[in-house]
Amino acid sequence: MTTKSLALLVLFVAVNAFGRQAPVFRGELVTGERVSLNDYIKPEKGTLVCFWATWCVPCMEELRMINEKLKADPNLPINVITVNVDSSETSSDVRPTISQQNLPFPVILDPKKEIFTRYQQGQALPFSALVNDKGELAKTFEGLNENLFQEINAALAKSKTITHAE
Amino acid sequence: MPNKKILIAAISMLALFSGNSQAENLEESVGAIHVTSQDHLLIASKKDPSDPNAEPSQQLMHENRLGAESGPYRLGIHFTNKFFLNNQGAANSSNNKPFTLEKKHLTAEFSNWDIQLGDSYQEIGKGIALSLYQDDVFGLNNTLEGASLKYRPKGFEVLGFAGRLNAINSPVAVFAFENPLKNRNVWLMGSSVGGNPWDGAKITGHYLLALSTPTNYSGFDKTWTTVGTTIQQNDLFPAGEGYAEVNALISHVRVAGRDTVLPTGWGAYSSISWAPAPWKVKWEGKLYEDYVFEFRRPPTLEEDIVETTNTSRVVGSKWAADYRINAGQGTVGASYLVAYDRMTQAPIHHWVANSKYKVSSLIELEGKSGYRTSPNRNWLAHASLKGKLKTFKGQWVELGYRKQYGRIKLDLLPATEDRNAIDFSYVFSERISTSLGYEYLPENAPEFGKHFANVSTSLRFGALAAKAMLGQTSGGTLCSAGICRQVPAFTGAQVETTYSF
Repeated sequence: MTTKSLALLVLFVAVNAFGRQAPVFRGELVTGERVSLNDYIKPEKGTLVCFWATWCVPCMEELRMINEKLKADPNLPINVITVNVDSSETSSDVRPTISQQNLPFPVILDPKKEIFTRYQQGQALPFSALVNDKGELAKTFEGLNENLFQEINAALAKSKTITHAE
Repeated sequence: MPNKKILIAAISMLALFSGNSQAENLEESVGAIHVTSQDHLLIASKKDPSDPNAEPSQQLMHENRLGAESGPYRLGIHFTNKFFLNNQGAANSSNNKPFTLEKKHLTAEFSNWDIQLGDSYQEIGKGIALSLYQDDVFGLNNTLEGASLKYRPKGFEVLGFAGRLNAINSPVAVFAFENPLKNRNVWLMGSSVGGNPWDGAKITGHYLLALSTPTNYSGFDKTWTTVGTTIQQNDLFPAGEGYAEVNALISHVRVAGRDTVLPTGWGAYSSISWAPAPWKVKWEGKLYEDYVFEFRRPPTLEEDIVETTNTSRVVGSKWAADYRINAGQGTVGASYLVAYDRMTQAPIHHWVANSKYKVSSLIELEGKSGYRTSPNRNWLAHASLKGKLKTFKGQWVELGYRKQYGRIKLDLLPATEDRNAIDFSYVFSERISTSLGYEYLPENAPEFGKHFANVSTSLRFGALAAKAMLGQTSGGTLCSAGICRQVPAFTGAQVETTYSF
């Protein structure tokens, strides 16, 4: 047991010495196509991965806020993709919700939360992850954040990928 | 010895938490191999609600998911550690589980192929036939330990899987469910074939064979065979779509050496929705008849208010409508569920109304109320109101009130349930928030207490999140992702941390 624990200790320290690459995932869009995170990573652009569920009211609020911001400033260097984590109990609400809310973003279905649990252990919603153009995890956001875009800009600038000023 | 193990575990945690922040050291990534880690620690001290004079139970529960990925390949393990921190007699010290390797997997994802070796989550259709999933609230984590192969060229999909059911042994949760595989082994083999025969349509057929045997392997004494089909049609009509699923379950049991075929079980679900913005209208129907198989999570159509124990012999329909006000200013909605519980031979009616509205740039209100009744058996009136008031930049106050009042008729002994709960939260920033909670249950017997108060706080720094809670909760119905269960009252403290990226 002691040897096992010490081995794990070494492994934990080693984990911290490596970089924080965003977990690459593949999934099925609500439209049926198969996509990968890498399909959305573009040069000089950040990719915001937003996790949501139809029953999560703050998630809807966050997606509306992001949509309005991008409409107001289409030149923002951000790609947005969303991952829906509704279980079978509420999954029949996904497409109607997308229609009702006029969500323009790609929606990847993750009913078994296989993608979600690779990004966040606690599975709290809303949750978003910002990936820079190198595929690195620049920042995560838990809960509805009204300063989202200021923090996105700061995180991307810190990762020395994009120097876009708001 | 237990203290030495705890010390080593604690040092391991400190080493992990002392790591660099998220965006640093990115240049040190090693080749094309990326290592990930998700760590979860929960320390709980809780009193036994049936024996308030007994020493509280103190547990340290920890789990970690370590993974490595390179291109299309992913390798991962999930292990847990569980210790009782105070000696409550020899029985508890023997319940320590210093190290348990819970799950392991090797996954490869290619353009048209998915290959999974080891532990994987599987679900067929809407979870009526099979659902192996994880839920951290109840400590549920059921996987298929074996192999799974999926081939999905454009417009076509074939899936095959086989293996043994693997339930988590040491869940990290305060209200963890008992291991459903206690003293039994369950083996599964399944397949499904699906395609897109025309625009917007997806049709699948599936088959599942499950075999159960006691752990001493005296032979398979329970077998289940399931066949079923699903049909999904998008754009059924403008802004509309539909879904239908039917499953037949054939069960054999062996009792005292004699094989018995049980009545064929049927599990069906259907939904039709129409969502021309700003409206959303949906109808759902369920029919479960003699469908007795443990490893599923079928749609219940119920609100997250009541514990749904019957998913084997019940039929129901639910209508729901939702309207967005002023392009996102708010929503109003209503739903009506009518069902017939064949076990209790009683009808069920549940009306619900809900609304959310942004009164101003500073104030938001959200309310929900409903009435559920099973005539001559029980009824429940419920209501909730939540308000959010913005204070300073990035800060706000949330105040919530929940009320449940009802009569439960258990045989000839009616009981009244009266629950009142107030929650007050202040969010200082995305990193720090604090909450106060108070519950008043006037109908509780004096020995169980009528007043329950608690305080909690949550902190977040980079990849590390921590929550602490002190006080009491009254228990009752706890819901997570459509699963509702009765949980006992809690008195004590909890500290929980997660570190993930």
